[in-house]
Amino acid sequence: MSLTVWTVIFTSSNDAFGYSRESMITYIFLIAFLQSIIISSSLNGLASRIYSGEISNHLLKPLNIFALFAVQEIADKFKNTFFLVLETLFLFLIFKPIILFPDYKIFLIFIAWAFGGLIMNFIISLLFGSLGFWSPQVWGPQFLFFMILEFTAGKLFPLDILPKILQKIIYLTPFPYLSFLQIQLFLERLSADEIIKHSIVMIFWIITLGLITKIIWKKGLRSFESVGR
Amino acid sequence: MQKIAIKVENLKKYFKVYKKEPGLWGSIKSLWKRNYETVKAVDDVSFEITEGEIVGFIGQNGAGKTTTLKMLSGLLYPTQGQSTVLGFNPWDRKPKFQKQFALVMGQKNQLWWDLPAIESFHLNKAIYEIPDKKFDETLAKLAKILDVEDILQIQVRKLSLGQRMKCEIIAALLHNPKVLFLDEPTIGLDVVMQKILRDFIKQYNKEFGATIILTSHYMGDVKELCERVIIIDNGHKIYDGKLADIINKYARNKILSLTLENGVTKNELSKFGTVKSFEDGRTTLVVPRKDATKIAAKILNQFKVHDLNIEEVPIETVIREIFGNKNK
Amino acid sequence: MKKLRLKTYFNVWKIFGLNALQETLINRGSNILFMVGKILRFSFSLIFLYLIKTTVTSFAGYTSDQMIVFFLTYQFIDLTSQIFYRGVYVFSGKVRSGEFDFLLSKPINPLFRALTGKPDINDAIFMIPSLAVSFYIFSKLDVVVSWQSLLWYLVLLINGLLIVTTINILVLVIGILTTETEGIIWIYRDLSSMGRFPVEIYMQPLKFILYFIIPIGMMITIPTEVLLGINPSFSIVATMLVGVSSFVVSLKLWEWALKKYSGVGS
Repeated sequence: MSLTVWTVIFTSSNDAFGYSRESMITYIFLIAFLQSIIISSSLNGLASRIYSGEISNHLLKPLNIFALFAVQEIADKFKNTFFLVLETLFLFLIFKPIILFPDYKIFLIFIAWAFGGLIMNFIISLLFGSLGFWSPQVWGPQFLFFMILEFTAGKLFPLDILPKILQKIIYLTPFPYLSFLQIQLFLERLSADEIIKHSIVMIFWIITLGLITKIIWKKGLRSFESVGR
Repeated sequence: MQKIAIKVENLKKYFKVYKKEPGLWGSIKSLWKRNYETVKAVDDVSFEITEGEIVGFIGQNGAGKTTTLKMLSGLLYPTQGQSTVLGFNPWDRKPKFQKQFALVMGQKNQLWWDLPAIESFHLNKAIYEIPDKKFDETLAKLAKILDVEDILQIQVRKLSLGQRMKCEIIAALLHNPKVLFLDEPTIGLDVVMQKILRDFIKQYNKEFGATIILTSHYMGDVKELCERVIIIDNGHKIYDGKLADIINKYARNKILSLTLENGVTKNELSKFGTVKSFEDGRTTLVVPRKDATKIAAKILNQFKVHDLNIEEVPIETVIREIFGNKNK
Repeated sequence: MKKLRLKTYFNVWKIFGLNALQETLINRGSNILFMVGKILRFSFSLIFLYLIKTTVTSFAGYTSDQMIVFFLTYQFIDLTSQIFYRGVYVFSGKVRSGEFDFLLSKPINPLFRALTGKPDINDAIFMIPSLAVSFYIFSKLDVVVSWQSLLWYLVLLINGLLIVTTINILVLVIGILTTETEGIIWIYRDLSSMGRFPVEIYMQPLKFILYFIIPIGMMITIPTEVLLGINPSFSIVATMLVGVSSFVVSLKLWEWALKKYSGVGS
């Protein structure tokens, strides 16, 4: 959808928000692709699975539950990617975006960052899932999260067209690291300094979120067992 | 003359289901080619039920009990045949008809999960257009009989299964239906709760003269509530009559319970019939029905018997045998 | 024929609403977050439109102020349909669990129950600030509106709501036939969100789809064009025709699906 909107915006002017028509189309195209891979998660229903006690079956098995989730997640991503590729080919033929592959070093970093984004989304999904240890009401927070994500991960528009102050706020959150920055990197819009800085911040987020999730799950499992579901 | 409440003539319901070949390839193939198979869920069933009767439907899973009830409630359209409930054709789903019957399904619920049961009752009050006074009276009465007065204000999700079932039943009965279809009303309930519900159903039947059809897996329900049963197997009606007569018609055996002097061996007894149990001199012996008295006399002659009883085979066993034979 | 029992239906609907309100209050924490999410989405969309307005003055022949009116109309129709027809979202689950059988056995139109059984209180509350903001923004915009076009706008909005009803009925029909509507609903939500912008800007065949297959255009674009005094892409008569006829067709489909459900002739 945002593809068509931007196409229309650029019919009247060739340059807007510091993006040329081609680079904007390429941007939207790539980010839609990347987000479909990164943000989809098999863990969306996790909280209700936990609350209903369905998860006990997994806890009984001699497996690390996180490893199990990870495997499920990977399988799910493969399935999604299959359909995504078909859809993307279709859109590609309609919009014919110009996709210039960056220099191979940048591309390798891009792949690494994409993996970082995947891991981060996985951790965040686990975090939301853990709400199910305490409450069945997980739709509210999840909805809020998706709403924020829709605008702050850069799907509708690149974040750098926002007013500076909003951008600053958004950069304090992990959301731009879920796909926006990856695409900026891909389009070679980041300087070497920025690449290093964002790499460090991304690792910081993964570790912090990972630790928080671990602690919360530990607590959650304890309360889960004590309730006896 | 008693009035006929429900009349069913040559009712048939066939479903088409498609059979998928196993495996992934089967799934892919089913995209363009499906092998349909006709399942005769109900096949040529006829019966009449008079007003105020309680009739039990017995049958195994998938025998067609629920399908029949659904046709009588107007949820399913019969493939062939006629049915009349209170003079209406159920399929027309006229509000006038729908206000006179109720359907209770033990495995399904109609109450609002997040709200106290009373809110669902108010909804039904509006739907069935029950006047305020009548509603209050009926609710008070039902709640008292079922002893749920103090749980009506509690969120349904927090109720136990038994409490919830009681509330389900109240919700279904608020409009004083003349005909009641109960599909597995006691499923999953403990023995005490089953008993309470049975008593209640009996009482409701007496008080309102309601016609009731009941399906159940528990023979206990049927034994206690229904004088008449209809046995359905593979869509066919195979028995329709008094519960007690099933034994006369189908039971091939009787049971001899003996208390014998020590020293009699199992081998000696097995000449007379199948030994079911043998311990401490107490023995149960299954013998052919028609020879029961003769065998008993012989045993009395040969051994020193302290006590002897000739009993009928339990009805569960008889029915199990009926289905067992059919399936062979 | 059936006697209309409007009073009963109104009473029943009132209880749906009251019960939904109670549910909302019971789960208040979650619902507050929902509300915040909605406000965020609304404001982000406005920010985005504002950003476009500052950089791009004309948008495929529309002024940026006109674009905002399209967006506000979308917001109104979308919200209204959510308020009334939220029950549609959970309907396929009811078919699967057999709860639908209960609905069928009651002396009330099952379609009425399935459509309106679960009004969305969140959206009803959100409607108030949303309408207030909309009117405020509208009063600040540089657009000319005559009384006559306002009147037609209202008529066409009602027609638009009829189309929304139609689409929701179709979702129910699919729910009965396949017991699975989550996917369809998301596709519809995605498509309908295209109505935030005038359908005219999209390219074919998308434009055709949005006018005739899933008539988002008839629902949102045409009324707004009429309001703004733009020559509408399709005449008012054609729009109303699409609205009314698709509604009738959807009712027929519903009846057909009900019959199919209960196995007529199978």
